Amino acid sequence: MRIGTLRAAALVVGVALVAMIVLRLRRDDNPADQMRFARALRRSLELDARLNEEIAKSRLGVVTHYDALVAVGDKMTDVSRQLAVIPAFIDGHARSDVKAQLSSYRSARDTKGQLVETFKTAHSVLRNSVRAFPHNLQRVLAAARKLRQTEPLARKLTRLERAVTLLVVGSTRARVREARCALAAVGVKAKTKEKPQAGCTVAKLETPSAIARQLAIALSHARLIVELQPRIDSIVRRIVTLSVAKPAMAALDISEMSHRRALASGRTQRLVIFALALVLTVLTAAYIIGRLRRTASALREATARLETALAELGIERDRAKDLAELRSKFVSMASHEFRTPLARILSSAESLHSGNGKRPQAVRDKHMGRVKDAVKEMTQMLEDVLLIGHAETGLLELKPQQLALREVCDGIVEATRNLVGEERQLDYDVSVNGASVWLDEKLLNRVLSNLLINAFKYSGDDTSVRFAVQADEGAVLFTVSDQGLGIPPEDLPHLFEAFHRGSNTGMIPGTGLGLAVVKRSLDVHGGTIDVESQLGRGTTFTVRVPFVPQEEVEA
Amino acid sequence: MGWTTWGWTTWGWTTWGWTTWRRGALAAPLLALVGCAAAESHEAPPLASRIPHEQLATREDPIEPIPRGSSLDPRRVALGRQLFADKRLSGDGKKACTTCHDLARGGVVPGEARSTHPRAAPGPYNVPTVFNVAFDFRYNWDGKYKTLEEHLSAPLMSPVVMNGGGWKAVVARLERAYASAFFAAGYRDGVTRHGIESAIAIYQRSLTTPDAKFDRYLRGETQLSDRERAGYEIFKNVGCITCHQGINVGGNLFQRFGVMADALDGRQPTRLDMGRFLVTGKQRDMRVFRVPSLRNVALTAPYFHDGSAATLDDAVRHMGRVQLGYILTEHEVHSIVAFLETLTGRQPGTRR
Repeated sequence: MRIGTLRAAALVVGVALVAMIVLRLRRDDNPADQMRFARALRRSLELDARLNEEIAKSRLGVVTHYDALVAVGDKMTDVSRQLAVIPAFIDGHARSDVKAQLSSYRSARDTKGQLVETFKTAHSVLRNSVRAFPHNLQRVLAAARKLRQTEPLARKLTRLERAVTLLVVGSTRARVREARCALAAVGVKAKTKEKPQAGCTVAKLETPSAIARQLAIALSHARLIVELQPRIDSIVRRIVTLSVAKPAMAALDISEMSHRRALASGRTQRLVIFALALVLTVLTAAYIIGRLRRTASALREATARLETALAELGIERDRAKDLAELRSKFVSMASHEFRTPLARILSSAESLHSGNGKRPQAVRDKHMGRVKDAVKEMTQMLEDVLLIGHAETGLLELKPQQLALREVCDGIVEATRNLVGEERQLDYDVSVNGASVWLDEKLLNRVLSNLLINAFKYSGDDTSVRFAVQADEGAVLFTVSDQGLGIPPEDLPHLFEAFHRGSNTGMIPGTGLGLAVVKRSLDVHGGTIDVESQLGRGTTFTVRVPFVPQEEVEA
Repeated sequence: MGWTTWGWTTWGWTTWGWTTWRRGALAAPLLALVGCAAAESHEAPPLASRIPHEQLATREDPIEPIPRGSSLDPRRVALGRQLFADKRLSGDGKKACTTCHDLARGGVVPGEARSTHPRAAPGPYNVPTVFNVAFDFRYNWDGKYKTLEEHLSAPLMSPVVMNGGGWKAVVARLERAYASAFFAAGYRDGVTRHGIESAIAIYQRSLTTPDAKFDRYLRGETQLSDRERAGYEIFKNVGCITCHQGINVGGNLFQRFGVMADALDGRQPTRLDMGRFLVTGKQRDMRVFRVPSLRNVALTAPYFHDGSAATLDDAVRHMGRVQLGYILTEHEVHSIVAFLETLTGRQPGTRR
């Protein structure tokens, strides 16, 4: 869960980092852009100043061609094109402000461009007339002087020359008016939007035909000057006063501010990217460590499971070993314990046979009895083995029935006495007169007779065996005690294992099945068995068998 | 998903982010450089007057000599030369730029009064020369185009001139033959409208005629004959110089055709006589034309937008009368013509 959170966090941070980097790469606030833009703006200012200068130079006739004007205009157009691309770092309000400033810059520049074109067109004509008019006039005056009858004309022309000369120096309102009047006085009306002033009447001029043509040319030059000079001066004034500097400066200021802001935000972005990278590194490291830790714990778990499995395997193996041991023990037991009664049967049979039926009846009976005992013994042994086998494979079943406990016990004691002989002493103490319980008679028989026979078998002939039967709450207590060999403590844990025999049993024959049968029978019954033993003093087995509850039986 | 895979991806990001951050300072100018390079190839075409300002206005003379060198990319000039003579530009495959601008004859077709022109009706303009167009400030008689690049579409797409049939068609016609040539000339996108315009314009800018006798005289390398020098003096004194000045002896301003008298001599004006009025629609631009360059003028007869002056003498005489109000004497006319003949420079078709 924590690992998952870490991974999700690292993913989120990683995505944020990539987004920031993309943003950073896209938001180009590199100094080159700003430098280019600012340079273009400054250049536009410089070019504007130069244009004004060139116009002034042309106006004054210092420069006699227009190439410089054209070149400056072209450069302004180029710069204006450069300014068309507003750098990316100028955004938001600043961008629209810059756009507005640039558009007013452009419109001012366009107006200026048109004014320059008008200036060139008008100025070239004006320049020619300004140069040509005095020559022409002098020629007219010279011709007029020769004619000697044109005094008023000469006066008027001199007035015109003076007025035009003054006008060319500088077109003040008064000079323009005077020049117009002088022009009107010689019969020429300047094309003008203004109304003719009072006193400036267009006079019809008597002109001698000899100088008429010359005069007409001179006067048309004069008219051009009077028309164009004020226009040129006003154009020059407009060009010089129409400043593209203001919007350009404003745009420059905004762009520099934006650039500073972009630089600052760029720094912040870099910091954020750095922080994100750091966080991502930490998260990744934590994630890796977490993964490693989880792997380690998983490894530990797997090891534990493996160990369990190995242990289970060991148990299995032990059981298999036990089984093999059991088998080998069975084989050795069978080879030994079965051989004894078989040998007895054989010897008795041979005795009977060799006697050729001439043995006395008593001997024959004795032999026949031996054979019978041996067969019984073998049958008993086989039953024991079968029972253990059934118990091992879970086939041993409980078949309870209602028993009169007293009678059953009496029967068992009787059978045991018959087996061990009347000379052995048995203290039989029954305190459950007339009790009727549900038990498996066969199994109970087995348990008690085995214990009793064992008690007799492993104790001296002169000792007695005590057998007590008591009823407890819900259970019957059987106690079998002897004063025999006792059981060595090291044998106690293995006491109920099949084929196990006490280390002190010596030559006493036995299969090692008796107590195993007892234990398994009791297990089926849900009973318990306790042992108390003192080596050389005797042993007490206490068996506790619960009654099978009535209802369970009925069900 | 295995943790290694994911872990490595994460580390990949981290290292990338880290290095990007570290190299930010380095990468940004690099990117900017790339951006510049990319922008440069499609930058707006330069305007006509490519003369460095510093070269101008340094001397009193109103006329400047044409510079001898050229800083134009020779690969593009060569490509433009090929295109300029390529008839595949025209729709019927019969006309190239050289059909009307014969380089061996002053950049025009001599003796032909009028070219077929985009705005042909009712009558076409006289062919202006293609020489020294680098120094003209506008193109066409009415000065409609500010750059040669802009201008190219007009004759190329006009149904009566080359009838190119649209840029797609032109590019398609040239694509196969020129693809490698365009790449070799540095046009990374191969044959495009931009590339064609640029290459032809660059070639046109290379068509200058330096080393005219008058230029060499201005540089102090040679002397004018008496008549030529007298012609130059008359040219200045009479007032021709007020419009025909600068490096191109004209070509840097607009002027009314007929300042002092009716230039059409009473002929009924046609649409084409309106001049710049056709472009601006302003009354003050009526009959205003671009002042043509007088360089190589001796080679480019006939004269005026309508080709109405068959000889240079006629043209000079007409100009003096209608523009300056001055009736030139025969002697003055011949002197001026002698001077104008010294403006004939080294022809691009006949390079030494």
